[in-house]
Amino acid sequence: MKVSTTVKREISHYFDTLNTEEFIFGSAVKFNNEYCQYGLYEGITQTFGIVHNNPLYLYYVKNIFSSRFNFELVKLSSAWNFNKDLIDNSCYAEWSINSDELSVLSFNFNVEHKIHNVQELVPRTCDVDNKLLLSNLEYLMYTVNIVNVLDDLSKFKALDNLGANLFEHNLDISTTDYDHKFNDTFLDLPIKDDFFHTKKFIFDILYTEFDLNKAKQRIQDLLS
Amino acid sequence: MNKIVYFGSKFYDKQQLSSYNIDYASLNKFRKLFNNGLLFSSGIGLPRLQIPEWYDTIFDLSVPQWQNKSITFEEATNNRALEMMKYYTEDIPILVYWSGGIDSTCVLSAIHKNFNTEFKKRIKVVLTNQSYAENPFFFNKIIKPNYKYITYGDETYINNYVVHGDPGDALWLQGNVLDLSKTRNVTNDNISNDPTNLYYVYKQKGLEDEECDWYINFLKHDAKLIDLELTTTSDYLWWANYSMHVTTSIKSLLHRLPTQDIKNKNFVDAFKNHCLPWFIGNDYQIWSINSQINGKKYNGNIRDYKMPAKQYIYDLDKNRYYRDYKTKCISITNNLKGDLDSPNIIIKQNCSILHN
Repeated sequence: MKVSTTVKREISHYFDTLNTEEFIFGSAVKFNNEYCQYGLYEGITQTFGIVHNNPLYLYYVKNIFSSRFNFELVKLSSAWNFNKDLIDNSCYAEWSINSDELSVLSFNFNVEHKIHNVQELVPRTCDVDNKLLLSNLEYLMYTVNIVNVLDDLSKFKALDNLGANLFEHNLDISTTDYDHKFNDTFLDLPIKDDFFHTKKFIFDILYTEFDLNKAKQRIQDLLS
Repeated sequence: MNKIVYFGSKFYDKQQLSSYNIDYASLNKFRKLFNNGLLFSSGIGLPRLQIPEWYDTIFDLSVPQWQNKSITFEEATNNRALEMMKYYTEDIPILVYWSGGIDSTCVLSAIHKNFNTEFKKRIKVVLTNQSYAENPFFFNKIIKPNYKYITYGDETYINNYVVHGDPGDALWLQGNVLDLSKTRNVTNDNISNDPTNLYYVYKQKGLEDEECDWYINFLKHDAKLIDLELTTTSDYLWWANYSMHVTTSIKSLLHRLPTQDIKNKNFVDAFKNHCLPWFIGNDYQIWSINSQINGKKYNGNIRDYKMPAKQYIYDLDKNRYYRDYKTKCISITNNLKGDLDSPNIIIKQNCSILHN
């Protein structure tokens, strides 16, 4: 994988503002433990893998971890007994969902990407060993960090969904590095191409590398 | 002479039978076909097929006589690999269709453990993005460094042997106990002691009382043919599925045959000679039946779904995630609508990988 110098510089520039070290080692995004409205539910161990307040990020994480866990994206705040002090990433594994809902989520046949509205949060009673799941919390949080940063960067660079005008307006970094042809379609702009592929490669590392430390190293190598 | 292929696993759906112009009198034909170990299409929404006479003579798909034989899944799998090596007599490539799921990964694991170097050189793994996405660990650790691999392409059974994970699911059937437990408050314990559950299930499928009686007696009679006695409700449910699935296993192979090929003797001969299902074999079937009888197939936790096969794979690749968390699921690429930044690759015919 070759990442263009320009893209490296831009990503690094962005990371610098956040503190690259923190990004790489996973604490750039402050987890809002006060109000985790959503979670990734794991049906075999009948508990959650991570909770967070942004369902879109969790949706990415669910897909990135899909060859490891069958997560279901659930809305915790729909539970009648939910309150903001009930569950966060220090105690998520002590919680499960009402047994009436278990069969719905037992096998991961949810292909419609519906967010399951939890009816009731109950203390976990399942005795299936969940150590492997618990050991992945740091990796899951790290992935949320990366999704968050790349998502922000995408918005800043207007790379995904924003129009060409906005792109042009925001293109205030290293403009001279690009041979712009403003008549080109948005998709053809080189910065999008390079950044888009970089993002893909970072996700690919997260998808295929099961060891967090190795994943961090590979991402560092990619961007250095 | 043509034989009619009926809808095996759905044949008791009155409405569906009617839509395909099959009346209940035809079930007598079904019974005869089944006792002869012939085959039925279990596909939903497929038209009734007219197939030539040769079709029922390709493989012996009948369920073997029941034996109280102690054999593990691992032994059955290793034995099957050795059998298959004897089957691959022609010096042509062996295409292994790999979906990334448990059955086809088990097949590849068995090949990797048991085939000698010369046979391994003939292996070509046929896979797609979806295969990779479902099990990237196995791809990177076992397939990529050891085998040629191609995407699903033009190569067929004509100049290749073809092997895949069918009919793996049949070996693991539980007899709808899970389905039943969702709709009725039953457990594995009380399901066995309440025969009215059987009637409940079949009436849900549209059978009248007398038709339920007929079908239950049919199952009982059929099991007796292999000296198997059905005693519990789950036994009946399992047997109904198992016997059908085994005999319908060739359905998926048939789908690989273009219609015109069925009429071409050369194609038919190639098909007969090159497409032997992996999970058809006496050892597998004996293991499956005995595992049903001794209750070891499923102990109530989803983690144990196909666990002997997952353990067999784990012994090779040491992937704890796959062993402990892999279940029946829709893989990632089925979920994607094309608008997500999920990892996506294209595997080219020359075995290079493009990140898309």
